Amino acid sequence: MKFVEKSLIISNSLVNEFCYRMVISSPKIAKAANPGQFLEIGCGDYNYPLLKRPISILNIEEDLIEIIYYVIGKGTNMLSKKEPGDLIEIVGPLGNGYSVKDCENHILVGGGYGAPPMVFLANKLLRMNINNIFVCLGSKTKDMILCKEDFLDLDVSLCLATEDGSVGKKGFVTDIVKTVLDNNKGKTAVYSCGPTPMMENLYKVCREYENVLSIQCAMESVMACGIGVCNGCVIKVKENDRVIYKRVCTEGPVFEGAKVVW
Amino acid sequence: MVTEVRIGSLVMKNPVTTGSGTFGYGEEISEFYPLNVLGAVTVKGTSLLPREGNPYQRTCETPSGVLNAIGLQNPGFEVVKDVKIPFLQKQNVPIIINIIGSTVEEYEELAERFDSLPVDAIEINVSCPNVKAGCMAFGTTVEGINSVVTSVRKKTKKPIITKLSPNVTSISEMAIAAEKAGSDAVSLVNTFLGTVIDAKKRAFVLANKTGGLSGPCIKPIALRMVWEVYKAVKIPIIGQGGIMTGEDAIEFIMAGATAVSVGTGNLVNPMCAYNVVREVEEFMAAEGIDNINDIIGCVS
Ligand SMILES: Cc1cc2nc3c(=O)[nH]c(=O)nc-3n(C[C@H](O)[C@H](O)[C@H](O)COP(=O)(O)OP(=O)(O)OC[C@H]3O[C@@H](n4cnc5c(N)ncnc54)[C@H](O)[C@@H]3O)c2cc1C
Ligand SMILES: Cc1cc2nc3c(=O)[nH]c(=O)nc-3n(C[C@H](O)[C@H](O)[C@H](O)COP(=O)(O)O)c2cc1C
Ligand code: FES
Repeated sequence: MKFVEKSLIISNSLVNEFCYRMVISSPKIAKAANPGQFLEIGCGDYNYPLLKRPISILNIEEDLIEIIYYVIGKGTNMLSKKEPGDLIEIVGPLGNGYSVKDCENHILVGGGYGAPPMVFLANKLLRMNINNIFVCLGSKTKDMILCKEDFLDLDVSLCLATEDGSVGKKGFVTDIVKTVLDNNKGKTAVYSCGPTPMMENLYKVCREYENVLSIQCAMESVMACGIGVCNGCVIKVKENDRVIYKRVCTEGPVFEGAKVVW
Repeated sequence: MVTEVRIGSLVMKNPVTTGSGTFGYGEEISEFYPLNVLGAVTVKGTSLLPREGNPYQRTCETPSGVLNAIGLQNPGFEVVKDVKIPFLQKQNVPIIINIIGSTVEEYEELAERFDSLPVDAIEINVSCPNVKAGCMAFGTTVEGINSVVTSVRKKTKKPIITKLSPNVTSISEMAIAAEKAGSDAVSLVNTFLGTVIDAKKRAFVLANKTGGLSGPCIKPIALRMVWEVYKAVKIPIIGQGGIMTGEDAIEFIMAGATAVSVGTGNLVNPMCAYNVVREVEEFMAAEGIDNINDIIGCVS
């Protein structure tokens, strides 16, 4: 079931110079949501801006949903001005999230703004009594690594990489994923979210390992409806030896990397 | 309070349907509310064979509107017959099928095939601005409309609704052509041809370069066109263009529409068409209107 819910903002505060973290009370959507799914958030008032904005779910606790969003243009700018006590209209939960694979090792990869959904996923895996969870986060600099604190309390192995070496290993997130794969030989599932070039690279690195059974990638595209009615948000996907368009908002956002036409 | 309206032999329990292409085939929105609250469901433009549509990027927000160049992606007649229509039948709501073709023969063939299926009306789309062949090419001349509508009329007894393009000098002339050729109703307007440029990239935003503009930004023009067509033809009008609320819908009815459709509103809020139904009734109650048919074209 999907819902349109008038939701109460509990908090909305700056995380770093570029982005905000928001807690919203949305009981119906919270109960139905799974990791990797997203919300369409009404950022303005009186239909300005007209369309809602797609934002991933960072985590859910009881009735509360947490998100992190970058301030990019008019929608997210207006969202950043909202205050606790304000109501916003949210549609969700939308799309297909990650499917948990029957594997020994689970590697969760968040590149830049792709870190938030990994918090929700790690929590879900732990509730399912799954161990051997590796969380690999990468970013340009130390300040731009999101959600590090969310993982510190969790029983997961956390590995960081920054392009400038200000924290963790100097280099790309794919470098640390490679190290994890070299050191852990059992059946492995990879779950990822981040910029498309990063996920493409990740997919190409991981498919070289025979023990990696699944490489799931959360894709992005410009959406109008977010619910599957307009056919706007398509990407090219391989199916039965053919290349066809699939809707990121409905068949995705999570796709198997092997199916995506990179 | 009477909200029932008639489009030829199509009976709608209230005047609200959906804009083709903004509601899929109803499956997605049925996760939000039961579709039988609507007067009818108008489905995505359907062709004989599946169409893959235009390359991405297909949509872009504009001030108070949306520009789209989907390119009529649809699963084609067979899937619509075997999967989509059976689904809609179970929803117990009148079905308006929207047909598209690159040639007159394709429209004819589709009309013939849908004539034997449980759909309640056929909307002829001669107004999509986003495909190379056919479609809007027919809808922008009197001869084009005449040839498509005449051919479709020969193949079906079901109510025919001709969907008009606003990208013409005189939309009334097009409506008159549709009426003369045997159309039971006209629906207007389809989207306005437009474009958006990304100044920093010095490039068009949509892969198709141009697209169709819809949403609240087109409402005043659409409303004026409905009023003009109302004065020009006797057949009923389905009004559309930027309807987001019950009051918007009432304005179209007062301009001369018998029914209305909610298009872009569904993209903004999945509950939009449902809300419009409710708000129309609230407006009627508050204003003491007993029968919706009494206010069709009532503006002075
Ligand atoms: C499934 C999904 C999940 C997302 N999750 C997050 C998240 O958790 N945190 C976060 O910060 N961002 C996320 N994004 C990106 C976010 O949707 C955009 O940053 C946001 O829409 C920008 O809106 P704006 O009005 O501020 O920018 P504007 O540039 O003014 O937006 C103009 C239009 O372009 C669209 N748009 C702009 N950038 C993007 C983009 N990168 N992807 C898709 N559409 C875009 C907008 O939705 C809007 O329709 C996600 C995108 C998708 C598709
Ligand atoms: C994403 C999108 C897809 C559309 N696809 C179709 C279509 O397949 N067939 C059609 O006749 N009209 C199509 N339209 C036009 C709408 O049905 C409607 O006529 C138009 O958008 C104006 O109404 P609105 O402002 O309420 O959206 C489409 C519109 C949008 C926004
Ligand atoms: S955004 Fe409309 S179908 Fe995905």
